[in-house]
Order: sequence, then C-alpha cells, then structure tokens
Amino acid sequence: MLEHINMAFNNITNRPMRAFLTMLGIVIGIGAMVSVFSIGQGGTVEMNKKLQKFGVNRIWVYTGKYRKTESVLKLSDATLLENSISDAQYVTPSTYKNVYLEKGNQSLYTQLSCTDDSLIHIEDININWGRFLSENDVLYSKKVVVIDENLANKLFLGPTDAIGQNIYILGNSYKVIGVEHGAAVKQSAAEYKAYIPVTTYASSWGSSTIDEITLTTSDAKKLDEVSDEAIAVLGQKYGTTQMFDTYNLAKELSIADGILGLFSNIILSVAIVALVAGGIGIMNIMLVTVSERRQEIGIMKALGASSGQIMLQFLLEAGIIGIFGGIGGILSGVIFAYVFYFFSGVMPVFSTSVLILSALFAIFIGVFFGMYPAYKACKLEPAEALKSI
Amino acid sequence: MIETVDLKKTYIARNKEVYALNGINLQVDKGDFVSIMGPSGSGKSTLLSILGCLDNACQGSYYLNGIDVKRLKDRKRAQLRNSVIGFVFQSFFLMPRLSAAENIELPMLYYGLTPKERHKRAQWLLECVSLSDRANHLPSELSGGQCQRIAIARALANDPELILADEPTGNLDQEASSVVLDMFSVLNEQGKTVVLITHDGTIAKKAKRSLVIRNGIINNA
Ligand SMILES: Nc1ncnc2c1ncn2[C@@H]1O[C@H](COP(=O)(O)OP(=O)(O)O)[C@@H](O)[C@H]1O
Ligand SMILES: [Mg+2]
Repeated sequence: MLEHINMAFNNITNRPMRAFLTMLGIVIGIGAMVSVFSIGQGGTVEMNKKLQKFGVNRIWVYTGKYRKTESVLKLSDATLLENSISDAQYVTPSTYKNVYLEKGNQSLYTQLSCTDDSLIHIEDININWGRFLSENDVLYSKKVVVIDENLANKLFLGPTDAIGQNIYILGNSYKVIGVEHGAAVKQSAAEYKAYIPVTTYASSWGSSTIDEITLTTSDAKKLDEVSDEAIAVLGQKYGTTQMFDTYNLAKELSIADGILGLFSNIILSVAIVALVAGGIGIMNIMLVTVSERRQEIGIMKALGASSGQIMLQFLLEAGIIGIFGGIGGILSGVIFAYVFYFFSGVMPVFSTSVLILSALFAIFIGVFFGMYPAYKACKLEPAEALKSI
Repeated sequence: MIETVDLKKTYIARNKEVYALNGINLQVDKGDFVSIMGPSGSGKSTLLSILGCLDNACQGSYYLNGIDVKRLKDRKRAQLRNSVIGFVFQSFFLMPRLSAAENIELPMLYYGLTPKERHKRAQWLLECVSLSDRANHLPSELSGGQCQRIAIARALANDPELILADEPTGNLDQEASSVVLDMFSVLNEQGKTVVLITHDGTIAKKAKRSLVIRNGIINNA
C-alpha cells in the first residue's frame, strides 16, 4: 500500500503544474464551503449576541395596541407578573421622560429612564465609574441618578469628578452614583441619557402609572408562551385582556435567521457546483493520464498486477489530488474568512467537524471522479496496451 | 509446459481481416530452450502475447502446465503472468519513474512480498546481473544493455518457470547482445524454460531447438 501511495505521489509530482491546476477546482470549492460555513457560523454568533443585548429574549408589555392609549400599568403589576410567571427571568418596570438636567447655569435635554436595578442585566449598560441603581435605591425611592459619559463631561470635569455630586431634575436634587460608558441615545429627541429609580419617579412626579413592563425569559422559544401568560395575569386583575398588548422579537429573529440561511445556501450551491466542476476536472485529467500511460498500464499487467491493484493505483492518484485540493481549500477558506473578518468585523467560527467533513468530501470527490478513469485503466487489454505508442 | 492446438488469431484492420496466426501447433517441454525465428510481420509477437497470457487466441487452444488458459478469469491470468511467466521485451518496458531496484521489486509487490523480502531479493538479482551499483538509477540513466539486464532481473523476480523474450537483443549492440544472450543460456541451464523470439539466425542457434514462423504458420527449421 505504502509503495502504491509512493508511486501515486511520483506520478503526480512528475507533472506538478498539471496537478496544481487539477487541484484548483477542489481548492476553490472547498475554500468557498469552509469560508461560508465559518463566516456564517460567526455571523450567527455575532447576530445572536447583538440581538441578545437588544432583547431577543425580551417581552414588552404595555397598554393598548401600539401604545396608543394612556397607560394603566402600575408598579404593583410588575410585582404581580414576577410572582405569577415562573418562566420570567427578570421583570423590569420602566417609564421614559425627556427632561432637563441642570447644574449651575447649565441645562441639558436628557432622556430619563425611570426603572429598577434589573435593567443592567438585560440591556447593554456599561457602568465604568461608580455603580448602577441598586435594590435599596428602588426600595427607598432614593434621589440618585446614573448619567452617561457625555453628561459627565458637560456638567462636570469628567466621570470621576461627577460621582458623588448633585444635579437637579425638575427642581429636585439628585446625587450622581454612576456614569455609563459611551451610551448612545436611541429613538429620542434628547441628546443625553440618565437613569433614576422608578419609585423615585412615582413620588416626584406624583404618577401612579408606568409606561411598560419588560420580561425576559431564559429560553427564547418561550417568548410567545410567556407573553400570553402575562396578558392572562393582567387580564384577570383588570377584568379584560383587551387593554394590554405585548411585543417581542421572535418574528424578527426568525426573519434574520432565514436571510442568513438563504445567503449561506446560495453560496453553498455555488461551492458545490465548483466542486463538481473540480471533480470533472480530475476525471478529465485522469482520463488523459490513463491514455498517456497506456503502455505503463500494459507493463504493470504483464508483470502480474491485478485489475484491483491497477484500479487502486489510479484511485490513489485521484484521491491524493483530492486530499491536497482539500487541504489547500481549507487553508484558503480559513484565510479568506480572516480577510473577511478584517473588512467586516465578523469573527469566523471554525468547527472541527466542518473542517474534517470538507477534507473527507474533497477525498470523496477525487475518488468518485477518479473511478471511471481507473476503471478504464484496469479494463485495458494488456497486449493492446503494450503495443501503444 | 506449453502446448498449443491449432491457434488462430485474426485482427480487423480497415474492415479487412488480417491473419496473424494461422494454425499454430507448438509444444515446449519443461527445461527446453526454443527460438522462434521469422520475418517481420510473420506473427511472432502475436504468438508470444498469447503464450504469455497477455492476449487470447481467436480459435484453438493453449494449455499452460495443462491448464486451458482461455477458461481462466482475468485474476488467475494476472497471477500466471506474475509468478509463472517472466517477460523480456525488445524495448525493455521498464517503468520510467521507478529506479532499477524498484522496477525489479514491482512483480514482488504485486505478488505480495513484504518490503524486506522484496529488498533482499532485488539486491540479490541486481548482483546476478552485475548491476548492484545502479540500484537507484532511473532507466533513463542506464544504457540499453543495462536496461535489458534490469528487465531480465525483473523477469526473474518471482522465480518463474517460463521466460518469454521478444527480440530481447533487437535494440542492443553486438557486445550487449552477447551478454544478454549468455544470460538466457545460463537461465536455461539452471532449469528455466525459455522461448526466445528473434529474426536473427545466429542468435537462434544459441537455442536447443529452432523454429521458423512464416505467415502465421510454424515450420521446423
Ligand atoms: N493490433 C493489430 N491490429 C491489426 N493488425 C495487427 C495488430 N497487431 C498485429 N497485426 C498484424 O498481425 C501480423 C503479425 O504481427 P506481429 O505478431 O506483431 O509480427 P512480428 O512480431 O512477427 O513482426 C502483422 O501482419 C501485423 O500487421
Ligand atoms: Mg514483433
């Protein structure tokens, strides 16, 4: 066997340029396959991470379809939901107000999130200085505020300077307990962002209602189930389920998954076409090789090589071309995936099973398309084969 | 060893039947040294192909050691070529990308000897043909006479009973020819059955028995 492999190598390296060009089809096909799989996998991981931050496993509960009616939700409803829904991980009451934050003669228009300590677990909030709202802050309606880095720079000398100082919201003094790193304000006329306890909002504004309650689930598949439960619990308390509505990203998630899958499938089909073309290339070259080496095949037969041994010889050659095409393909696929990472920021994820499967697939293509030429070689009549040239 | 009964072989060339063999009755005993002489195109190579199980006759029978070769499966015929018959051809037919030693080892590889056994026997055969110092040379790096000696060593790889040679000195000069011919004589003395094809009368005289083939028919010389 070792000798057969050795001879196969000998025969391949005898014409290096031809061998290289023959491999190229496999290299391109396997390369495309490997890069699509690993970029796709990396993309999925990346997307899930982003969606998780944005709230893939999050349910928003509010009053009226599309929030068109005045909210009737109360803080106590959050506690009720927390106690009645076992699949709920975090239950967070929130109200949003655009207000002016004042210090000295400065006054900045800010989006104020009135919420509780659980928000830090479900949103992408990075507190680099001080701390976020605590359970006690909420329990005792403390007049504390977490501001963003821009506010800290505008109103104070910077984040470290801001901690422990006071600012004014609607005439009340709030102590700065934390500064959020580089937060972006979403969907708001306000330029800045700050957080206060939702209980402090209730007492300061004299409001008994909140805008929304969000629930998270540990299992994204339970989104719809938990949504229905929340409506049912609220419906029992208020006597009607019609008053409330929920929203979650399950649909968006499945659409995004679908687009990613479609994209992968298109490129995979291209890869498979390339591989089949590569395989036909191998078959073509092997047929040329068989007719070029007719006399050698005749000699092998005269020396007593069986059909199986001749078949093995040619299948090995095709298989070796496949293996090296596969290795080249995996290398170029990995390189391409990293080049893609450099431009797109999508970190590829390489799974060993994909790499091993592509290598095996390359060998399979080589052997499969080498089969017909090898068969032709072993079926040559020895006397005829010897006579050629 | 060899017995043929009314062997006939026709080729179809350009829609015309060409008779290559026209009823060959040949008997070669074990240990015999037969030369078959004849002009070009008389059917010598065709006959040797059939005797060597490289080709089948169209009509008639060929018995090798009493076995009707026509009835054998491909696999069995390959085994005969491998270990019962040794071939020597006019143009050597060495594998161009294998070294002298590897060429000699090839029939042993097909036979299934271990690398160690193959190596040992190849070294010994190289010694027999006085080419031990050329073991790692490629055929293209050897002279015609040296190539033919390697081919003879290869024919002896699996210690066959029968040596079939088709104009083995056809491509060699006087000196190399006599070296090669002497080898066949020695092999025959050692008990091998030799069938030597040639178109040269002086070469044919080295054999114990000389036959002449003309138009596909054998006459005693
Ligand atoms: N493959 C073939 N197709 C057609 N005719 C052939 C073929 N091989 C041999 N012949 C013919 O058969 C005859 C005998 O050929 P061959 O045995 O090679 O002669 P020799 O070896 O004595 O010179 C010749 O007339 C040759 O033309
Ligand atoms: Mg001839």
